[in-house]
Amino acid sequence: MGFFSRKNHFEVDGRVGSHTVLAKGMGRGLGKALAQKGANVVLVARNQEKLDAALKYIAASAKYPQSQRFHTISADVTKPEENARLLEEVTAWNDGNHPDVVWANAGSSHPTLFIDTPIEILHSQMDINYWAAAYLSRATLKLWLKPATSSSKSQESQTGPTQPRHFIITSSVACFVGLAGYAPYAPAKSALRSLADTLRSELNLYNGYRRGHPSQGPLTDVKIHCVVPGTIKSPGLDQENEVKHAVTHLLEEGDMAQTEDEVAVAAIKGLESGGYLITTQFLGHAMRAGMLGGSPRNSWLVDTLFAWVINIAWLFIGPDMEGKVFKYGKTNEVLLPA
Amino acid sequence: MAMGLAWATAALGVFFIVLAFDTIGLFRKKNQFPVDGRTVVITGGSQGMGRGLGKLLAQKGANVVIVARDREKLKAAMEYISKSAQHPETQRFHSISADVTKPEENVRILQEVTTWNNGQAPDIVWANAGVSAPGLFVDTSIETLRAQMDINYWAAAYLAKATLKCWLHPSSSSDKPFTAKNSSLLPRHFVMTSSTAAFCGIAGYSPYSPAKAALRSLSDSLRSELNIYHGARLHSSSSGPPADIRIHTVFPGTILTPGHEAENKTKHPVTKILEESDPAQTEDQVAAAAIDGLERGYYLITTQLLGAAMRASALQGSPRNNWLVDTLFSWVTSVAWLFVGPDLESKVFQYGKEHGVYKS
Repeated sequence: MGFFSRKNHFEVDGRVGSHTVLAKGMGRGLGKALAQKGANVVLVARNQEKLDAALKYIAASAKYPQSQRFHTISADVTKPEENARLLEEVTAWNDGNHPDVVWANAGSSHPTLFIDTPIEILHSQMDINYWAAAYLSRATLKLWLKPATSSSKSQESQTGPTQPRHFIITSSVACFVGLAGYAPYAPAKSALRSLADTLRSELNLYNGYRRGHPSQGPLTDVKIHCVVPGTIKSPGLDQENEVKHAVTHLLEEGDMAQTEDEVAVAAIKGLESGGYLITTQFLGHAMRAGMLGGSPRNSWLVDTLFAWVINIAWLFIGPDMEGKVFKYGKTNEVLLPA
Repeated sequence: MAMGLAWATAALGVFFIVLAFDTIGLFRKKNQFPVDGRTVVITGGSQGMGRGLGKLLAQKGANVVIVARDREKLKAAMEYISKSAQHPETQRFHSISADVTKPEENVRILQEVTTWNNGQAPDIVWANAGVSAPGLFVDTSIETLRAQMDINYWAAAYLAKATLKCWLHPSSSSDKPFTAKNSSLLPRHFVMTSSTAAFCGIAGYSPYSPAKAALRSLSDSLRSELNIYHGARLHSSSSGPPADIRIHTVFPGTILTPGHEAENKTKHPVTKILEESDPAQTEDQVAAAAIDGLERGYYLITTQLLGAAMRASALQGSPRNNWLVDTLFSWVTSVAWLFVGPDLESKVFQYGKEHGVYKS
């Protein structure tokens, strides 16, 4: 491991990353990008066949094909016990060491109008888009925050000071704005952003404890990040577009779409810069600037000025978007409850 | 430099003058939330903010239905609320015992109220039920995390669904003709009670904040969606819903209630430190502030200055209440957070360093 001219806040070379994916789309893009940077990668999804195909694809990009390791685990991450199990399996596979980086990336969007959406779908959207990440973060933190003295396997074989561990959540720009048609999806992604903000505040407790009690505290600092992509060209997007209401398409037209590789590269770049709330393209950056709230800034000057500008922009964009929806209702067939 | 400073001071002065006038209602338009003679349903209505709302709405002439689980508390609250009726002879009051975390119960509530209200759907529905059970994330059981989402998010989502299905019925297939003195052509209002916890992440609120943030997001999405149905009314007046629907979300801060006392029992000391200088309101103060915001026609409504500042820093695409004040306020708060944010984080860090955390 060398020293870089600009400090890399997200060292992955030689570390173990485990992320829940849907074995396609952004997760697969992340797996490939991390493999290229020298990480050992574990992919998690439900379908074993898709996992096997993704594994082959990712392993082909390994930086050190001789020594890097890859693994897959089939699991249903909407169940809490499955999240505990997958972490146990990764630890066992990793010679008794917990993973260094865990990325809760699984998610899927079903954008239909609220009154047309059955309650089962509202539930399942919350399960895959919020609970999966909440269960995984809880299971992971319960392992990572254990006092260092309680771990059976010594971690001292690592050279140099212990690097922080990273928990990453994939939310969506949908959490920054309310659009007709996203009521099943946006609230879950908003809840994710709020969970990330809250956990970030809470982790200071444990990181502070470690500073004051190095031998009784957790083994490493823990950092949390929230990646917020926009539209990603993927099989998931194709499925989403099949159910999406026409008015939602209308509101999204002109939005930039990225490939799975572009999104992965942007996300990891944001992590390497030490960012917390990480967006992947300009529209996302603008939307983040308008919803900063109390979240830590990535750059205090840029973020603040950007926020001021975006605030003005929304005075026009907001009413314009509402006008589009109103006009749609006025000129098209609208399904009312029977 | 002196010129620049003079301009900046003048601008700041203008800002404060506008803020002051706005606060004292100099720019007030007509009442955007008339309730006299109309029927209101409030969940979580037997204590705390819900009870405060019930009393104030009774004073303003509304017929009030309160919903909660405990029948004893409902009975006591009904007596308390009806004593404040503006027109004791004609105003009506009712209570329904229900578990709002179940979708079918919300449907039943709407049906019962409609029957009780002479076949008319209620004019105003307020999803106010909510409970906070704060604690550190890794120390909180999964059952508690899910229960918090159930009462703080799903209850409101189910009620929204049941209410909108009822209100969006095309006007041709309707109910009896309206005889109430305030015709139902007045807009109907769906209101949700969220929390300032939706605007910022504070150690110890992980069971609660995500649900309240989800409510804000649902509110924004529904607000956008309701435009379709309003447009449809103009498309063809026989196939649209009978009245416009306005949606609003209220974000109170700390309220001194029985719920708050219960909350403080599980709250981690570090959370109390972070909240120590927050203002606290009584149920009557919160109700008055909420209804004041509704009468001004506001969309996202806060009840005290700290809440207003937090809202201003998280505006994004939500419609402004007052474009000038909101924009300037958001600029100011985005600078303030540069200092407040790191300060809050370092308080948590210090606490951890000095006290530690381990229970298990």
